[in-house]
Amino acid sequence: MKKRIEVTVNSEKYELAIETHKLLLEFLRDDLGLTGTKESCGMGECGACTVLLDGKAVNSCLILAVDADRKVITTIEGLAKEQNLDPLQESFIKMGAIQCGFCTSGMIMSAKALLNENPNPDISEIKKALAGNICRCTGYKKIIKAVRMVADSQKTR
Amino acid sequence: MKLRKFKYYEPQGLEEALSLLDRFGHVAAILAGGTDLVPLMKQKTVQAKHLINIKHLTELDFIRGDSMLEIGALTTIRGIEKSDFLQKKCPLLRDTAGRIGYVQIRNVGTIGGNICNASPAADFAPALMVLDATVEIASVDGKKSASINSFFLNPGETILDKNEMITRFWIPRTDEGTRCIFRKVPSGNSSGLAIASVAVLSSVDKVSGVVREARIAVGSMAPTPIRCFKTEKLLVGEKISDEILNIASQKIVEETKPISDIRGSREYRIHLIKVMTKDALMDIYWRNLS
Repeated sequence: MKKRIEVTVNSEKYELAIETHKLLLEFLRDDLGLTGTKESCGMGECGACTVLLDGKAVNSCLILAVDADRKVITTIEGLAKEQNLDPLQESFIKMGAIQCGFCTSGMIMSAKALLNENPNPDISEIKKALAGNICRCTGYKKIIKAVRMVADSQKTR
Repeated sequence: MKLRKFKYYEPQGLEEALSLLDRFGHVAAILAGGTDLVPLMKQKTVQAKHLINIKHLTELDFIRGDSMLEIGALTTIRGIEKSDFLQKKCPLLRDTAGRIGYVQIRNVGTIGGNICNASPAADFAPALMVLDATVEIASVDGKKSASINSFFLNPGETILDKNEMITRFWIPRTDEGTRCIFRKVPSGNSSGLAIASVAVLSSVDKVSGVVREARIAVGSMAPTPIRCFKTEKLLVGEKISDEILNIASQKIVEETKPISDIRGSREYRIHLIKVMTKDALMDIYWRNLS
C-alpha cells in the first residue's frame, strides 16, 4: 500500500509515492542513498539513526516515512555548506571525538538540535541532549568537549 | 529492521479515527508517537493487520485550563517538558517528562501513549495518580471518564475496550502549600526505563508539623503502577518525625509486589523504594517547614 508524500530532505524537495510500512531510515538510506544515517539497534535505543525532523532530533528507525509528509528532514549529509564542513563536524575531527565513526552521524545530529535550541549549553545540558546516543568504542569525554568547543567558538565570534 | 506490511489509515479528525477504531479495533494498532509501538511491531510482539495513524489529530495536542488542567492525549513528552505554562501550573508533570527516555523519544512519544501502553514503568503514571487525574475515553458511542487510579489492570492491559482511545487528561488543581516530587532510578541502558520510581504529593501544617495530605504512587514495583493508599493513610494526621517516615517507608514495601527482572532484583527495588520515598517525603517536609 502506497501513499503520496511531499518531503524536503537537505533542502531538496521530493514528491513520491511511498510504501506505508517503510521507515524513514529506509527511505533515506535505500531510496535516496543517504547512507550517512546509520542503523544499529533498530529499536530506538542507540541513536545512530538520529536525523532532524522539522529541526527536532528523532530516531528515524521508529518513524514511518509517510510521517515525513510536508516536513523538513536534515541528515548528516545536509550539514556541510558547499566545501565547508559544519562547525560541529570540524570540531569532532579536531577533538578526535571519533573512533569507528558509526555513532558519529547520530551524535552530531543530536548535538546540532541542541545547539539550534541552546547555542551555549553547559556540560550537563550536553550530556542530557546526547543521552540517547550510544558510543561503544571509547567514551564520551571528547564528544562532549567537541560540542562544547563549538559553543565556545561561536560565543567569541 | 523492517516492518511487516499492514493496511494503513490516516484519519483527519477524531470522529473518523473513532469509526475506524470501531470497525478494526480488534485487529488494529493505534500509532501515536510510535516509540513503544514500532519496536513491538518489529519484534512481532504486536502483529497489527491495520494501522491507524492518529498523528494528524492535532485537536488532541494541547495544554490548557485553569482550576482544572487539561492535557491532550497527543501532547508530546517534550511538549510537556518544555511547557512554561506547566512550570507554573503543574511542575510535577514537567519534571516527570524531563526524566522519560531521552530527547529523541521525548520529541515524538506522547502522554497518551505512555499511559495506554500500561507499562508498569510508565513514568507519567505515578505522577498522574498522585494528581488524581481523570482520563477521558472516547469511542463512537461517545465520551466517558475514569480515574487514572483504576485505569491499569495488568502489564499492557487497561480498562480500554478495543474501540476506545484516550483523548485527554483532566488534572485538578492542587491546594496551596502542596508540594510534589517525582523520583526515579533509571536502568543503565539509554532507554532509561525505571528500575523503580515514586511520585509524592504532600502538605504539612507549618506550625504543628502535622501531615495534612499525602499521596504516593510507585512505578515498576507491581504489575501496574499503583497508588499506595495504606501508606498515605498512615501518614495523614501524624507529626513528622524520623520514626514515622521509617514506618511509612516500611509500609510502602508491604503495599508493593516487586519482581526481579533484567533491570533489577526484587531486593534492590525494595531498597530503592524505601530510600526514595523517605527521601522525597523529607524533601517536601523540610522545604515546607523551613
